[in-house]
Amino acid sequence: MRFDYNWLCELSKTTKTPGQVAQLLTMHTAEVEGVYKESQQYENIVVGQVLNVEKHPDADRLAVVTVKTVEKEERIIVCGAPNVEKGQKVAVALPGAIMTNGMEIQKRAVRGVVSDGMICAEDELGLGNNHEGILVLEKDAKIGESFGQYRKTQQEKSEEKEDATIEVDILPNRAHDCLSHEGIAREICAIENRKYSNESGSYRDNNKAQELDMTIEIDEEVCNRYMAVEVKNITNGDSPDWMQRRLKQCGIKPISTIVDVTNYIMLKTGQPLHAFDQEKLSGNEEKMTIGVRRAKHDEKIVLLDGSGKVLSEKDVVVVRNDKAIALAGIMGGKETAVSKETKSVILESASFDATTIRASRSNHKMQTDAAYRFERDIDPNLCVKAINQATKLLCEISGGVAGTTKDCYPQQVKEWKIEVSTKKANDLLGTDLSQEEMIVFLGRLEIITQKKDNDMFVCTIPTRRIDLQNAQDVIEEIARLYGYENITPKAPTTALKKQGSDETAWEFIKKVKDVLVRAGASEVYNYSFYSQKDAQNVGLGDSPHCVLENPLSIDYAIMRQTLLPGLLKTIKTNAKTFSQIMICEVGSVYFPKEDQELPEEKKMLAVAVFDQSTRGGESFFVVKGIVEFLCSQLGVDVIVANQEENQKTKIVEKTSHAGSEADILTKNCGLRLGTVMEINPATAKLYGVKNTTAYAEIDLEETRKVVVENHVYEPPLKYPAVQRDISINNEKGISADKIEQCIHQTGGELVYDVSVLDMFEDELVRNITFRIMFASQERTLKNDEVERCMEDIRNGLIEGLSVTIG
Amino acid sequence: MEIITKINQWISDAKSDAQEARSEAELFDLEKKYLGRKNGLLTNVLKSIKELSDSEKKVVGPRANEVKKEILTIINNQRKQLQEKQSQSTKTIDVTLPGKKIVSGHLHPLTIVQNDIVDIFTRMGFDIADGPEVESEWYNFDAVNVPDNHPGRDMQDTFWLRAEKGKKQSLLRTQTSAVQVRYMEKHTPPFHVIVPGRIFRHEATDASHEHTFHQFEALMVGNDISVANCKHVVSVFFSQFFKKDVEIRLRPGFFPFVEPGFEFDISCTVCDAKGCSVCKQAGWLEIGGAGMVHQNVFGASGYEKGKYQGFAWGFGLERLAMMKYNIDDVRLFHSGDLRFINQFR
Repeated sequence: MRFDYNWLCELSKTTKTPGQVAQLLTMHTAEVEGVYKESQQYENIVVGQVLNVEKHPDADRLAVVTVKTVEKEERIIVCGAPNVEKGQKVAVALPGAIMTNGMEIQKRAVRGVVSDGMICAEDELGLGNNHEGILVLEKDAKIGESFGQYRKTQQEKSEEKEDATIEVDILPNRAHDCLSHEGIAREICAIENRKYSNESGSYRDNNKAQELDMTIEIDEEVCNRYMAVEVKNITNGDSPDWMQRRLKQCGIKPISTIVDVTNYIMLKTGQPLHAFDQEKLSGNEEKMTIGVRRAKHDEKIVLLDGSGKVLSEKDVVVVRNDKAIALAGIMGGKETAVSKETKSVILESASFDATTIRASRSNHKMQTDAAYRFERDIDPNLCVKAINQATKLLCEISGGVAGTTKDCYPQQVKEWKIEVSTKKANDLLGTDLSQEEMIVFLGRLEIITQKKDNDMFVCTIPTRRIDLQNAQDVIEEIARLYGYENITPKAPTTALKKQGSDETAWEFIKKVKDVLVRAGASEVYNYSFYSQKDAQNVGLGDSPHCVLENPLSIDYAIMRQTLLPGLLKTIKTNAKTFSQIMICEVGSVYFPKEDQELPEEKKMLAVAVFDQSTRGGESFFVVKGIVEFLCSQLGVDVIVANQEENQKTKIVEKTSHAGSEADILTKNCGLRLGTVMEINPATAKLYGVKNTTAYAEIDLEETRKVVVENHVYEPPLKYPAVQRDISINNEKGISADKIEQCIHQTGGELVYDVSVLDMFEDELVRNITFRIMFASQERTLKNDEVERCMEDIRNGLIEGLSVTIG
Repeated sequence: MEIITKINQWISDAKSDAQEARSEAELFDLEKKYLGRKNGLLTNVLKSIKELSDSEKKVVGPRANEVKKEILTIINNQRKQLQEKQSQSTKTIDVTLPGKKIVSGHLHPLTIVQNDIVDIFTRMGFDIADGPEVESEWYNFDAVNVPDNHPGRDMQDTFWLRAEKGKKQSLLRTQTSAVQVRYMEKHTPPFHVIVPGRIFRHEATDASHEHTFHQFEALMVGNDISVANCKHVVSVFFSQFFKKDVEIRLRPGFFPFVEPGFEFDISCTVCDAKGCSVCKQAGWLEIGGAGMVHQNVFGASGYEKGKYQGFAWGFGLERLAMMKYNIDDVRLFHSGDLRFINQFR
């Protein structure tokens, strides 16, 4: 909320500058989001002197004025004001200046004469309503000086305070009492240790205004209090300048005396008020009943802003003889709205149930200053202060006379008591304050305390402090006034033990990322949502997803079940810049579960490799290599094996290049941890990816379960190993892992390691050279025993797999 | 004696061969030819000495050893010369050419910052807890003292999931505080734990707003954990994180799950609180929220109200990363742009 600095000064008697007040409030009450000084509003507006006034050649009412805004610089301005005269000092808005109504001044032709700026009237500067003519400045104004500086000098001369507004972020806990100038002024007084006294008197009716023939009936469930008063003989013109100025400072548009008074008192006290046009309200009926009740199903009302609303039992209405005249706490009805012609009003000051108002206004997707306050709950005892002040002010300004105030307040809210322990307060804050000190702090907030014993004291809470409900709340008040900056940091003395947690899972993911980075992949973060189209693209179109009720856009409408679309988009983003891309992401995927309230979340790892420079399947092997490296670093024994036709996941079926998909299986029990595949061109194309992309996705939780923690050391070979290469012509397309297995089986226990050394492939033949390493931990191998093994291997391969040896 | 003549001849042979040798490999072969353990000419002579007569032994033995030494000296000298020559003749290289590029990946900056944070906390002995990103209304709001229709719910715009038949509507958690009660249900004070995690807010994105971001929450609960303790832990953490002494400042704030609640600022790490453009001349940077856990939250966790006290505090990872690396647009984190990510180490 925006607060008028001068108003706060008047109420709190503070002598501090706007910046100092802001600092106090930030440190003790609520965060100040900004201080806006008047002088800052006048950018590009300077003092100028009228040198010459001539008639506009083409328009009777306009004048062409020559103005000096800088020494030796004259500018021509077209001006329509009747009071412009040679020699005047005036406020000139230069091109680029932004006026209070938001208009930007530009150099442009007015009926054929180019006007280089504007001479300002009072209202254009936000200083009042006067638009009769331009604002004429004091004779001693300095030409070329900024208008802000001019105002400041003038204010200093007349010992006025500088105009400024202070924007304070009032959060729900202080919205009960601090969405008002009085509330903030009270805070300033408490912080500065000065008694707040500003009880303005109420209206005394000297004239015998006749008794209002009106009964009030309220539904106590939705309304705690309803007050009304009649004010007659009003002249509803413009409100005085000072009031308009304060309203504008706080961001409220002045409308007419009646409306302005209600808004002014709301800004001052925090109590929203409403004025009904008395004639429109009463009609011809002699006697009337004003009531507050829940709206009926399908009840209709047209509001002040002209909008028609269909109501339900969730809404509350103010009714006259059972006809809705206002959507309670939110906005008045159009039918009884005040206008310039209004002569008498019924002022309403009421207290509505916060929860109900909140539900009602959010149902109708409305927000008003009144609803904003009511839904945050305000003290019903405020009603009387507000209505008295409003009545007095309205009568003073508009010459009206008021009747007796009616009050319907069945369940009076009284002050309540909270017991606080000095020791507990000190324990919670980590301070060493005495009971007396605490009592003094609370006294500054008008919380009256009574000492019970050396430890306990009883606090009586003013009814406006709805936020203070228990001892901890009161302790906060002590802390605020003591000042958090005065609490000395202390190391905890409690012995805190680890209790077992998700640390291992955390460490595991950290390791996964580290290994991937070492392998050359860069980590990206994508959003947790994708579109229905993404789901379709990767074959999950008919798989049930978690759907957002209120997505930001259709691109982010459902919760992802694979990281693939995200990584394909990332590749597209980077393909312009990089010819080779190696990326990974660790993130959650979400599966709705019928038997559970919440969906199942799985942490997945995805790796994608994209290469614009290589042909064919090489990216696949890069990804496979990364996966193997990762698993070996993690201590997970896996094999990457052909995928069984009937075991294919929907994603693989839709997105993989036929024949280039593989499962990542645990070596000992064949549990599937994930898949590796080459993305087919059709899918890649959907994401604008033109070259071969390979992809792997792994379930990290499953993987973590099969980690072998104990890594057993194996001594290095003591005796030299012997290497033999064998080249195999594999016309039948037998897979490499089968050949490798065969070598192990037929070569016996001296085969220490088998690796692929080289591969050659054309249409006719696939030739693979394996390097076999023979070794023993017991002895140096003899040439002939290695030869015998090789012979067994050759025979095994030829007989077992029908390959030829090259 | 014939054999003496022969071995004497080897000296001059070796000398001329050595002089012709152009590489150390050739010298090695030469050494092998005369002195090789298996078939070296001199080795063989020495091996065969035992077959000679006593008088011959006396002559041949010492001479063969002398020759062996001499040949070794010849070869070694020649080797030295070769080495010297080589070192003199080495070509110069352009040392300003780029070094061989090492290909490595890059961690995402948020991961780097997150790792730093977790390291600091685990050094202080904190546990780590995790919770679901799709959360129930109960854990995200009600249990942490934000009942339905409370204006506090407006403070966080929420993504809701479409409810399935017969189920309550779930949501994307708006705060890591949602994990507080989940953790407390399973553990008994005293404890201290951190909760890192992804959270969501229903907000349009711009340079300083994201709908998806990451938070850190620390929770310390015991019988006497106080605001003073909170100040201590917060300042130790930030001093370690920024690797310099950081002052912290608490101000009143409001979060429904704490009472008292405060915002905390740290002294600007760029200008050391003197005032600069980063801290908008304030000298302080707003960094997160904290407070003493509300007794209602303990109640929702199944603790007896009034039995324990402790603090909770949280901050945004993105904000910290932006401060650390001077990043001015929060959207970069989820942009996937490797020109951005590859800058971090």
